[in-house]
Amino acid sequence: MTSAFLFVFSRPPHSSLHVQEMLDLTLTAAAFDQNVSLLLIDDGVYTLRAGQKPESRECRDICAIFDSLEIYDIDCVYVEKESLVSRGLRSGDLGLAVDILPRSDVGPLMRRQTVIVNV
Amino acid sequence: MVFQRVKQLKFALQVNSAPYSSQGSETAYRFARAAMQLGHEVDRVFFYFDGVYNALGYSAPPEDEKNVVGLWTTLAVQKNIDLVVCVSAVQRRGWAHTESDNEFLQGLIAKGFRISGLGQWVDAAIKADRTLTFGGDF
Repeated sequence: MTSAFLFVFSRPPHSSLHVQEMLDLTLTAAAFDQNVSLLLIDDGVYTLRAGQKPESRECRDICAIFDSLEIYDIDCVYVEKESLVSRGLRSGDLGLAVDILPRSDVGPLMRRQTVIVNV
Repeated sequence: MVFQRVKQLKFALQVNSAPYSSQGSETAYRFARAAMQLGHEVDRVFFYFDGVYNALGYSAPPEDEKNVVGLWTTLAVQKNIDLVVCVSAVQRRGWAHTESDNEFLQGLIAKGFRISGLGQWVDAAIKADRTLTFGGDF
Protein backbone atom coordinates (compact mmCIF):
# COMPACT_ATOMS: atom_id res chain seq x y z
CA MET A 1 0.00 0.00 0.00
CA THR A 2 1.39 3.40 -0.92
CA SER A 3 0.42 6.62 0.81
CA ALA A 4 1.56 10.17 0.18
CA PHE A 5 3.48 11.56 3.17
CA LEU A 6 4.37 15.24 3.52
CA PHE A 7 6.84 16.24 6.21
CA VAL A 8 6.72 19.92 7.08
CA PHE A 9 9.90 21.48 8.46
CA SER A 10 9.06 24.77 10.13
CA ARG A 11 11.85 25.16 12.69
CA PRO A 12 15.42 26.36 12.30
CA PRO A 13 18.14 23.69 12.22
CA HIS A 14 20.54 22.93 15.09
CA SER A 15 18.42 24.49 17.86
CA SER A 16 17.18 21.10 19.02
CA LEU A 17 16.93 17.49 17.96
CA HIS A 18 13.90 18.43 15.95
CA VAL A 19 15.23 18.42 12.38
CA GLN A 20 17.20 15.23 12.96
CA GLU A 21 14.19 13.36 14.35
CA MET A 22 11.94 14.70 11.58
CA LEU A 23 14.48 13.43 9.04
CA ASP A 24 14.49 10.01 10.72
CA LEU A 25 10.70 9.85 10.31
CA THR A 26 11.01 11.00 6.71
CA LEU A 27 13.64 8.44 5.79
CA THR A 28 11.72 5.63 7.49
CA ALA A 29 8.61 6.45 5.47
CA ALA A 30 10.76 6.46 2.32
CA ALA A 31 12.28 3.12 3.31
CA PHE A 32 8.72 1.75 3.32
CA ASP A 33 8.43 2.80 -0.35
CA GLN A 34 5.92 5.54 0.35
CA ASN A 35 5.57 8.72 -1.70
CA VAL A 36 7.48 11.19 0.42
CA SER A 37 7.71 14.97 0.04
CA LEU A 38 9.23 17.63 2.24
CA LEU A 39 8.13 21.21 2.70
CA LEU A 40 10.36 23.87 4.28
CA ILE A 41 8.36 26.75 5.64
CA ASP A 42 8.79 29.60 8.16
CA ASP A 43 12.16 29.29 9.96
CA GLY A 44 12.45 25.82 8.42
CA VAL A 45 13.88 27.48 5.29
CA TYR A 46 17.13 28.08 7.22
CA THR A 47 17.62 24.31 7.21
CA LEU A 48 19.12 24.49 3.73
CA ARG A 49 20.92 27.84 4.05
CA ALA A 50 24.26 27.48 2.28
CA GLY A 51 27.49 28.20 4.10
CA GLN A 52 26.59 26.62 7.45
CA LYS A 53 29.55 25.45 9.49
CA PRO A 54 27.87 22.79 11.60
CA GLU A 55 31.17 21.15 12.57
CA SER A 56 32.12 24.26 14.55
CA ARG A 57 29.20 23.55 16.90
CA GLU A 58 29.40 19.74 16.86
CA CYS A 59 26.23 19.66 14.77
CA ARG A 60 25.46 17.38 11.88
CA ASP A 61 25.58 18.59 8.32
CA ILE A 62 21.85 18.79 7.60
CA CYS A 63 22.43 19.94 4.00
CA ALA A 64 24.40 16.75 3.34
CA ILE A 65 21.51 14.66 4.67
CA PHE A 66 19.06 16.52 2.43
CA ASP A 67 21.49 16.01 -0.42
CA SER A 68 21.29 12.25 0.13
CA LEU A 69 17.47 12.16 -0.03
CA GLU A 70 17.67 11.20 -3.70
CA ILE A 71 19.16 7.86 -2.68
CA TYR A 72 15.88 7.19 -0.89
CA ASP A 73 13.89 8.15 -3.98
CA ILE A 74 12.76 11.41 -2.42
CA ASP A 75 12.78 14.00 -5.18
CA CYS A 76 10.23 16.44 -3.86
CA VAL A 77 11.72 19.07 -1.58
CA TYR A 78 9.62 22.23 -1.60
CA VAL A 79 10.50 25.59 -0.09
CA GLU A 80 7.83 28.19 0.42
CA LYS A 81 8.73 31.37 -1.44
CA GLU A 82 7.19 33.85 1.00
CA SER A 83 9.12 32.33 3.91
CA LEU A 84 12.36 32.81 1.99
CA VAL A 85 11.59 36.37 0.91
CA SER A 86 10.50 37.55 4.35
CA ARG A 87 13.85 36.34 5.71
CA GLY A 88 15.84 38.14 3.02
CA LEU A 89 16.78 34.91 1.28
CA ARG A 90 16.68 33.81 -2.34
CA SER A 91 16.82 30.35 -3.85
CA GLY A 92 20.50 30.98 -4.63
CA ASP A 93 21.20 31.23 -0.89
CA LEU A 94 20.20 27.60 -0.41
CA GLY A 95 22.71 24.79 -0.54
CA LEU A 96 20.50 22.51 -2.61
CA ALA A 97 18.37 22.77 -5.72
CA VAL A 98 14.77 22.71 -4.53
CA ASP A 99 11.32 23.52 -5.87
CA ILE A 100 10.30 27.01 -4.80
CA LEU A 101 6.57 27.07 -4.17
CA PRO A 102 4.39 30.17 -3.78
CA ARG A 103 2.18 30.15 -0.69
CA SER A 104 -0.91 29.79 -2.86
CA ASP A 105 0.35 26.35 -3.94
CA VAL A 106 0.93 25.04 -0.41
CA GLY A 107 -2.75 24.29 0.16
CA PRO A 108 -3.12 22.26 -3.06
CA LEU A 109 0.13 20.40 -2.20
CA MET A 110 -1.28 19.47 1.19
CA ARG A 111 -4.59 18.36 -0.30
CA ARG A 112 -2.72 15.79 -2.39
CA GLN A 113 -1.33 14.07 0.74
CA THR A 114 -2.59 11.16 2.81
CA VAL A 115 -0.49 11.98 5.87
CA ILE A 116 0.95 15.37 6.82
CA VAL A 117 3.43 15.60 9.67
CA ASN A 118 3.89 19.10 10.98
CA VAL A 119 5.37 18.82 14.43
CA MET B 1 -24.92 13.04 25.59
CA VAL B 2 -26.16 11.35 22.43
CA PHE B 3 -23.52 11.04 19.76
CA GLN B 4 -24.43 10.88 16.14
CA ARG B 5 -23.26 7.66 14.57
CA VAL B 6 -20.59 8.27 11.95
CA LYS B 7 -18.53 6.00 9.73
CA GLN B 8 -16.10 3.95 11.75
CA LEU B 9 -12.54 5.11 11.25
CA LYS B 10 -9.17 3.63 12.09
CA PHE B 11 -6.84 6.13 13.74
CA ALA B 12 -3.08 6.17 14.20
CA LEU B 13 -1.86 8.65 16.80
CA GLN B 14 1.56 10.16 17.35
CA VAL B 15 2.40 11.85 20.66
CA ASN B 16 5.34 14.23 20.49
CA SER B 17 5.39 16.10 23.79
CA ALA B 18 6.30 15.13 27.32
CA PRO B 19 3.57 14.83 29.95
CA TYR B 20 3.00 17.89 32.18
CA SER B 21 5.13 20.28 30.10
CA SER B 22 2.35 20.73 27.55
CA GLN B 23 -1.18 19.64 26.81
CA GLY B 24 -0.35 17.37 23.85
CA SER B 25 -0.17 14.02 25.57
CA GLU B 26 -3.32 14.47 27.62
CA THR B 27 -5.25 15.72 24.59
CA ALA B 28 -4.14 12.64 22.67
CA TYR B 29 -5.28 10.42 25.55
CA ARG B 30 -8.70 12.10 25.69
CA PHE B 31 -9.02 11.91 21.91
CA ALA B 32 -8.19 8.19 21.91
CA ARG B 33 -10.72 7.48 24.65
CA ALA B 34 -13.46 9.54 23.01
CA ALA B 35 -12.83 8.02 19.58
CA MET B 36 -13.11 4.51 20.96
CA GLN B 37 -16.28 5.42 22.86
CA LEU B 38 -17.77 6.41 19.51
CA GLY B 39 -16.84 3.07 18.01
CA HIS B 40 -13.73 4.13 16.14
CA GLU B 41 -10.51 2.16 16.27
CA VAL B 42 -7.24 3.38 17.72
CA ASP B 43 -4.81 0.63 16.93
CA ARG B 44 -1.57 2.23 17.84
CA VAL B 45 -0.19 5.29 19.60
CA PHE B 46 3.40 6.08 18.72
CA PHE B 47 5.47 8.11 21.18
CA TYR B 48 8.20 10.16 19.53
CA PHE B 49 10.33 13.25 20.17
CA ASP B 50 9.89 14.22 23.86
CA GLY B 51 6.68 12.17 23.80
CA VAL B 52 8.77 9.19 24.89
CA TYR B 53 8.71 10.61 28.44
CA ASN B 54 5.07 9.51 28.65
CA ALA B 55 6.37 5.97 28.96
CA LEU B 56 8.69 6.49 31.93
CA GLY B 57 7.45 3.99 34.48
CA TYR B 58 9.11 5.80 37.37
CA SER B 59 6.82 8.80 36.94
CA ALA B 60 5.18 9.18 40.34
CA PRO B 61 3.29 12.43 40.81
CA PRO B 62 1.66 13.14 44.22
CA GLU B 63 -1.57 11.22 44.65
CA ASP B 64 -3.82 14.25 44.36
CA GLU B 65 -2.30 15.18 41.01
CA LYS B 66 -3.03 13.82 37.58
CA ASN B 67 -0.95 10.82 36.57
CA VAL B 68 -0.63 11.05 32.80
CA VAL B 69 1.59 7.97 32.49
CA GLY B 70 -0.96 6.04 34.54
CA LEU B 71 -3.80 7.21 32.29
CA TRP B 72 -2.04 5.72 29.26
CA THR B 73 -1.30 2.48 31.07
CA THR B 74 -4.94 2.13 32.10
CA LEU B 75 -6.10 2.80 28.55
CA ALA B 76 -3.69 0.22 27.14
CA VAL B 77 -4.77 -2.42 29.63
CA GLN B 78 -8.51 -1.75 29.33
CA LYS B 79 -8.73 -1.19 25.58
CA ASN B 80 -5.83 -3.30 24.40
CA ILE B 81 -4.25 -0.57 22.27
CA ASP B 82 -0.64 -0.73 21.22
CA LEU B 83 1.51 1.96 22.86
CA VAL B 84 4.86 2.07 21.09
CA VAL B 85 7.87 4.07 22.30
CA CYS B 86 10.49 4.95 19.71
CA VAL B 87 13.80 3.28 20.47
CA SER B 88 15.97 5.86 18.69
CA ALA B 89 14.28 8.76 20.51
CA VAL B 90 14.82 6.92 23.78
CA GLN B 91 18.48 6.30 23.01
CA ARG B 92 19.06 9.96 22.18
CA ARG B 93 17.60 10.92 25.54
CA GLY B 94 19.89 8.61 27.44
CA TRP B 95 17.53 5.89 28.60
CA ALA B 96 19.52 3.16 27.00
CA HIS B 97 23.01 2.77 25.74
CA THR B 98 22.37 0.38 22.91
CA GLU B 99 19.39 -1.05 21.14
CA SER B 100 20.16 -4.39 22.75
CA ASP B 101 19.61 -2.90 26.22
CA ASN B 102 16.13 -4.33 26.04
CA GLU B 103 15.96 -5.81 29.50
CA PHE B 104 17.09 -2.54 31.01
CA LEU B 105 14.55 -0.62 28.90
CA GLN B 106 11.69 -2.92 29.82
CA GLY B 107 12.46 -2.10 33.46
CA LEU B 108 12.18 1.62 32.74
CA ILE B 109 8.99 1.77 30.75
CA ALA B 110 5.53 1.75 32.27
CA LYS B 111 3.11 -1.14 31.92
CA GLY B 112 1.24 -1.16 28.62
CA PHE B 113 4.08 0.40 26.59
CA ARG B 114 6.56 -1.39 24.38
CA ILE B 115 9.77 -0.29 22.70
CA SER B 116 10.11 -0.48 18.94
CA GLY B 117 11.23 1.44 15.90
CA LEU B 118 9.95 4.14 13.56
CA GLY B 119 8.70 1.49 11.15
CA GLN B 120 5.85 0.87 13.59
CA TRP B 121 4.68 4.45 13.09
CA VAL B 122 4.87 4.25 9.28
CA ASP B 123 3.06 0.91 9.34
CA ALA B 124 0.26 2.36 11.49
CA ALA B 125 0.03 5.51 9.34
CA ILE B 126 -0.30 3.45 6.15
CA LYS B 127 -3.07 1.28 7.58
CA ALA B 128 -5.02 4.06 9.28
CA ASP B 129 -7.79 6.17 7.77
CA ARG B 130 -6.46 9.16 9.70
CA THR B 131 -3.08 9.88 11.26
CA LEU B 132 -3.00 12.55 13.93
CA THR B 133 -0.05 14.13 15.71
CA PHE B 134 -0.31 15.68 19.17
CA GLY B 135 2.10 18.06 20.85
CA GLY B 136 5.47 19.13 19.65
CA ASP B 137 5.55 22.69 20.88
CA PHE B 138 9.02 22.34 22.31
